[in-house]
Amino acid sequence: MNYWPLLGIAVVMIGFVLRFNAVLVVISAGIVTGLCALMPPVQLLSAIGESFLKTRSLPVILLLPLAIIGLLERHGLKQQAQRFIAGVKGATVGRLLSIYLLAREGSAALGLTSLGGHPQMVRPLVAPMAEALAERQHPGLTQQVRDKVKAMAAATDNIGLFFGEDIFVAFGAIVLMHTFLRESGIETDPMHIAFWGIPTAIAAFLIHAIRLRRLDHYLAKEQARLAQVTPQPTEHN
Amino acid sequence: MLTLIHLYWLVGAIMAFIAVLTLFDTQHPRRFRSGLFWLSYAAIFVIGDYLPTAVVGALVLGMALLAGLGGLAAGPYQALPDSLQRASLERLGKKLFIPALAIPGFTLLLVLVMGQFPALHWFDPKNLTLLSLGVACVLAFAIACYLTRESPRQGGLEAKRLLEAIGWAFLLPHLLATLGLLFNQAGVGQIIAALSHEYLQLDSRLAAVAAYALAMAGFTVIMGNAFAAFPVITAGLGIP
Repeated sequence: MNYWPLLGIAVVMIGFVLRFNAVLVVISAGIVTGLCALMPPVQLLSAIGESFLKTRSLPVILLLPLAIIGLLERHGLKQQAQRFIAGVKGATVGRLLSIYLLAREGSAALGLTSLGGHPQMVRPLVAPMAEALAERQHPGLTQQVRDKVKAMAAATDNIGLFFGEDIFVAFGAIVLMHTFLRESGIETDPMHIAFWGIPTAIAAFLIHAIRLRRLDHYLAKEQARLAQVTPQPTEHN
Repeated sequence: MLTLIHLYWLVGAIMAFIAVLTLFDTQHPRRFRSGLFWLSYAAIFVIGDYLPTAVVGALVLGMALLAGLGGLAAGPYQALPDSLQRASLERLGKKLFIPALAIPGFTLLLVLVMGQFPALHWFDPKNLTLLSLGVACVLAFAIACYLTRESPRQGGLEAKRLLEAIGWAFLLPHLLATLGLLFNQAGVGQIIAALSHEYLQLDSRLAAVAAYALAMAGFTVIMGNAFAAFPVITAGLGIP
C-alpha cells in the first residue's frame, strides 16, 4: 500500500505550526497529496477543480450578507448596536454571549442554521455589543483584551452552530453518517443519530457558558491589573 | 424553479463587479493581481460548470497563489464623513437594525412557507435554507438601500470594502473543503484504516473508543470540519 498521501496531512500541520500563509499551506497540501497518490498533473487539477465547484456554497453564505451589512455600517450600525446595549441594565459580556449561544444553538437545532453567522450577526451586532459592554463595565481595557472579547463572540457563534445543527435530523452531516454507515453494512436510524447529539449539545452549552462566566472574571482581573500598572487608564476608541 | 445555479450567478455577478472596479481603479495598490483574483472567482461561479474541470483547477491554483503571495489589497474607500454619518444615525436610529434582522427574519419565513408548499416548485427543496438565505439577502438589501438612501452601486462598494478587509482569509474555508474532498479521492481514509489495523492494539473497548474519539478530534482540527474526518476515521477505526 502507498502510504505517501499522508504527507499531505503532515504539510498542513507543519505549515500551520510554522505559520506560513494558510492559503499556500492548504493548496500545497492538496498538491502533495495528489502527487503522492500518483495522480497525473492534469487529473490532479481536475480533482481540485471538481472539488472546488462542489463546495461553492460556502463562499455564498459568507459573501451575500456583506453588501447589506456594509451599507448599514456606513450609516452607523455599530454605534447604534453599542448605544442599544448600553441601555440594557445588568448586561455583562458573559450574559450577552450566553444568551446568544442559547439562541444560536436552539435555532440551529431546528435546522435554521442561517439565522446567525459571522458576517450577518457577529460582526455587525454581537461583537460590537460585547465590546461596548466590556468597555462600560471595565473602562480602559487594552486593544488586546478587546480583541479577545470579539474573538469570544465569534467562537460563541461557532460553538452554538456546530453543536446545535447536529440535533437537526435533515442536517447534511447526519445524512452523511447515515448513508456512510449503510454503505458499510450498518443500519441506523437518522432520528437516533440526531437524538444522541443532544447530550453533547447540552454539555457543549454548559462548558461554554462556564467559559463565558470566566471571561467576565478575567475582564475584571485584567482591569484591576491595568489599574495597578497605570494609575490612570487611558481611554482609546 | 430557483436553484443553486441562480445563487451562483448572483455571487459571480458581485465578484465580477468588484473585479471590474478594481481593474479600472488606477489608485488601487494591487490593481491587476486583485482584479485577476476576483475575475477568476467570478468565472468559476458563473461559467464554472461549463469549463473543463482541469481549467477550473488551474484557476483555483492561480487564485491561491495570488491570494497567498499577498496579491490582495484594499483599494481606496470613501467613508461617509462623520457629520453625515451622525445625522444618518440620528435619523434612522433603531431602524438600522431592520435590514440586519431582516436577513434571518426573511430566511426563517421563506423556509417555513416554502417548506409548507413544496408543490409550488419555487425553490429547489434540496437547498431550501441556502436559497431562502439568498432571497432574504436580496430583499434585505433592497430595504437597506431604501432606508439609507444609497444606490445599489454603493452596496457593491461596501461588499468590496468588507471583502478587501477579509482578504485572503475569504478563500480559506472554500479551499479547506476542497482539500477534504481531495483527501478522500487520494484514499487517505483507507491508508489510516490500514495503519491503525496494523499498529494499534485496540483490544479493550475503552482503548478503541478513546482512539476513535481522539482521531476524530485530531483530524477535525486539521481539516477544519468533521465532514471529511467522519468517513476517513470511521472507515479506519470505528467500523473495524
